[in-house]
This record gives sequence, structure tokens and C-alpha cells, in this order.
Amino acid sequence: MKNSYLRFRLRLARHALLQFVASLQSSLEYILLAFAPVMLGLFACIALPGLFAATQPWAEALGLFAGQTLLASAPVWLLRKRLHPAAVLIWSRPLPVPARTQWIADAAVAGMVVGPLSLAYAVSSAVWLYQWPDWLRPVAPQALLLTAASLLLAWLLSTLTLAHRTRMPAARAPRRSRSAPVLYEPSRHVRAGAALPYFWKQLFWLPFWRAENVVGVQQTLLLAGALLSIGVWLWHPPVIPPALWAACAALMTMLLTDRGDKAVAEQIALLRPVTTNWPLNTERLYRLAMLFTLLPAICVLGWFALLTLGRDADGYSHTVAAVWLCFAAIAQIAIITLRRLSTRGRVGLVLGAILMLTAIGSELWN
Amino acid sequence: MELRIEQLNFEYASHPLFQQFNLTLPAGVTWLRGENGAGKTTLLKLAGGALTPHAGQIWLDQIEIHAQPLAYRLHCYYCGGDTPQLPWLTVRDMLDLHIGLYPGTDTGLLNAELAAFHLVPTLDQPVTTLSLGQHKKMQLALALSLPVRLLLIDEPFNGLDVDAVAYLRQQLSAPQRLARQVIVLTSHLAPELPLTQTVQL
Repeated sequence: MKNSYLRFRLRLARHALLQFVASLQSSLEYILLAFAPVMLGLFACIALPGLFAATQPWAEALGLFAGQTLLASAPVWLLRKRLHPAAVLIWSRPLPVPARTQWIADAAVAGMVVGPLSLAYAVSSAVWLYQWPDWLRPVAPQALLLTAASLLLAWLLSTLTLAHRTRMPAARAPRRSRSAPVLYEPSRHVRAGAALPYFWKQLFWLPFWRAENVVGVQQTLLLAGALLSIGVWLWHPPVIPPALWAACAALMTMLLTDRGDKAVAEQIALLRPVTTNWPLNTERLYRLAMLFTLLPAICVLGWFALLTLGRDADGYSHTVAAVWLCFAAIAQIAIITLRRLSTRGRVGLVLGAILMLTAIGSELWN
Repeated sequence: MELRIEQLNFEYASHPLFQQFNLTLPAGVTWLRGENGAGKTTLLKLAGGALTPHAGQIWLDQIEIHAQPLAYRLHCYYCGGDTPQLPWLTVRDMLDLHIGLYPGTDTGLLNAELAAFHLVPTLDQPVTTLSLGQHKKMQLALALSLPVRLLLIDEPFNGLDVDAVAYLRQQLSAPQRLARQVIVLTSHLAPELPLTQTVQL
């Protein structure tokens, strides 16, 4: 059982990682095409904070060390639902797998992610050792030890993340805030005659907030991020260049509509076989759901329009603001309407729009 | 009142199930019999609009399923499947959804069915937490209270306790119901109901 469980978990993780890489293929093509030198630079610098920590007083060093550890353990946390899917968890919990075997399997799966990442850190460290800068010379052994320790700690954290997911949840007594119902009363909306917005709420709003679905939270964070980025961009504090906030605003706005539209498309695919025999014009409902995907972006663009076009220009260009707004609106509509684009085409559309919006936005304060 | 199936063709990946199939079912209970894979559930799904035939017509009185799909579906309810199809909803949400889909549903009658099947305390539970039998009871409570003319029930007695089976038999034998509904059910066991006809597939 020990070896077969371990083999099963490793095969499951390998399958999940291959699937994840395949899902990123189109994005990676464009990112490497446009940002290959930047990516290479970032890759070379990945070990820098950990190495640099050795030159700092202990408080700052601890902060950098903790940051690097969390960064290195983040991939497993982000991929935990793929590495050990809920359906497999439910199925495998009753199996007679000893706790030790579970721990070994979790550590091995965590190692499949942290291992290659450690290799990247090793290459980056080698680059810095080859460069041999003045600040590194007196603390090189300590810096390397700190880096190795942070990676080991990241492996441990990643293992704990997976072990926590594997653990059988404790039985909790249900909350008794409400008394048990004694009669079924149809909801107000149904009594008044259910309209399409009611069905939209039940079939396209509730599923994104319930059970393990994170689409609701993800969209809320993207919306808040887009509104905040635009707010700071227009406020333009002196420390950070406004172009960076323009890039953030473009990224969040485009992802907001793209991710929302993808979630709605997946939900439609799930609902189609269920709703075929319902006495409801489902095609109208699906069109409404796709249209509603634009609502968050409309809020973002409305917020931008309010902050720019709705007041006197104070050092920024009204023309650039209007062009940014028009281009952003066209890009949002393109995402919703060009549904027959291939995955590669869609990624190209989103990344292209982000680059164009960033380029236009960088002229706002010039 | 009758369900009329004319010249129906349907096949699964080169495995023909129905070819030039004709059937007329009057009001009352029809028992569809047949071994596993004979096409009982498929026929119910075709008659309920959950599957599209490759050829042929299906009429409920004067309403043809493809000519007037919404009108047809409004008068038809397919009760089948053992797993919750919309797992994010609670039992109450599910009932609301069906009342929204079928205007004119008698909520008093629905409450009576829910009470008879002991489902009222589960109203605020997610549908995924219902047992197999409770899920079947929820579907049957809807089937017995929606204002439809065609009722298609796949294995109605699966997973039900003895009391629920007795109650369901009593409801499906009620003369008023038999006069106003075409009821088609599949069952491997004899349904022990007043049957209008039995169809062997």
C-alpha cells in the first residue's frame, strides 16, 4: 500500500502539473515573445533578496528571509487544489493509508514543485557568485546558507499545506441560528413571477460564491484592484511612476472581463445539458449572462471617466483619457463578442489590449 | 389527452435504439418495461425534450415538441437522475426555481407533498447533502405538484422507504390525477398501480 499510494500521488501530481503547463502554453508563448529579456532578468535575480538578507541587520534580514520562504512556498499553495483534487480527497480518505505514508507522499509531491524552483534559485545564486559583487564577498557562506534554509523551510511549508488539505475535517455541529422550517414559502421574486434576472442570479451568481468556487472572490479582488489602481494612478503619488499604475489598471481591467467571461462560458457549458428540457428560453438567459459579464468593467470605466473627464484637467491630458476610455471599452466588448477565437487568439487579444492600454495610459501625465 | 410519438429515430454511436418507432399513450399510467440498455430512460428523455431525436415527431395533444418547444416543456416534467444537477442550490432554491419555471404551481399542494415525504426540515440544506432517497423524494414532490399534463418518472421507487413507496402508489392511483395526466414510468419491479398500458421495449 505504501508504495502504491506514493506512486498514485506522484502520478496525480505529475498529471496536474502537465495540465497546468498546457493551460499556460498560449500565455507563455506571448509572454516569452514580448518579455523574454525581462523574464530572464527576473529569473537571474530570483535569489537576490535571500542572498542580500545576509548583509542586513537581523530585523530586515528576517523580513527578507520570510518573504523569500513564502514566495517559494506559494506555488504549492496556489496549485493545492490541482495537486490533490477534492474528488480524490473524498475518495481516498477512507483508504487505510498510514499517516507516515501520507506525510511521505505530501513531502514528495511538494518536492515536485519546490525541487525545480530550488534549481532556479541555485542557477540564480551561481550567477551572483560568478558576478561576485562587493556586498556579497564578506557574507557569501551565510548568504548561501540562508538561501538553502529558506528553500528547506519552503518545502516544509508546502508539505504542511498539502497535509492540511489531506486531513479529515473535524465534524462541526451545525449552527442553530435559525429554527427548522415548518412550511415552504416561495421567495418574493418567484411569487411575483420569475423573470430572467432571477434565473441569472440562481444559475450565474450563486454558483460563483458557494462551495469551493472562488470565482466570486477572484472577481471582487480584480474589481477592487482595478478601481484602486485607477484611483492611485490619477492621484499619482511621487514615489512610484504613474505608468506603473496605468499598467496595473490595464491588467486588472482586462483580466476582470476575461476571467468573468471564461467563468460564464464554463457555467453555460455545465448548464446546457441540464436546462435542455426546461420551459425557459435559455439562449436569452445565456446572452444576458454574457452581457452581465461587462458590468464590473463598466463600473471601472465609469470610475475612470468620473476621475478624468468629469473634472478639470490638472496636469493630465483629457485627450489621452478619452482615447484610453474608448480603447478599453472596445477591448471589453471584443472579449465578450469574439467568442470563436482560439485560445491562442484570445490570449493575444487580452495581452495586446493590456500592452496598448498601458502604452496609451503612460502618456496620461506627460 | 395523449402523448403521440411518430416515426421516431434515435441511435447512440451506430447503436440504433429506435427506428420508425410509433407509440400513443393516453391519460393514465403507462409502464415502460425492458432490460438494461433497452432504451427506457432514453425514451423518457426524448419525450421530455432532454434529448433530440434524429427524426420523428412527438406530440402532446396538439403541441409538437420542436414546433412549440417552450409550450411543450411547460406541460411536461421529467423526473430522473439520482445525483443533484445544480449542486450549489439548497432544497428551497430548487423548489423556487421550479415554481419560477412552472407558473401556476399550487404551493399548498407542494407543501402537502413535502410534508408527506418528510422533506420540510431539509428546506435549507444544500441539495448535495440529501441522501439518495431524499433527493428522489424532492423530485417526486415536484413531479406530483407541478401543473403538467405529461409526467415522465424514471425508476420512481428507487431509494424510497416503505412509507414513501406506499404514499407514491396512492398518489399515482388517484382518479383525478389519472384523468388529467399522461404518466409514463420505468421500473424493473411491477409498479402495482392501475395501469392504462404496459409497453415492452
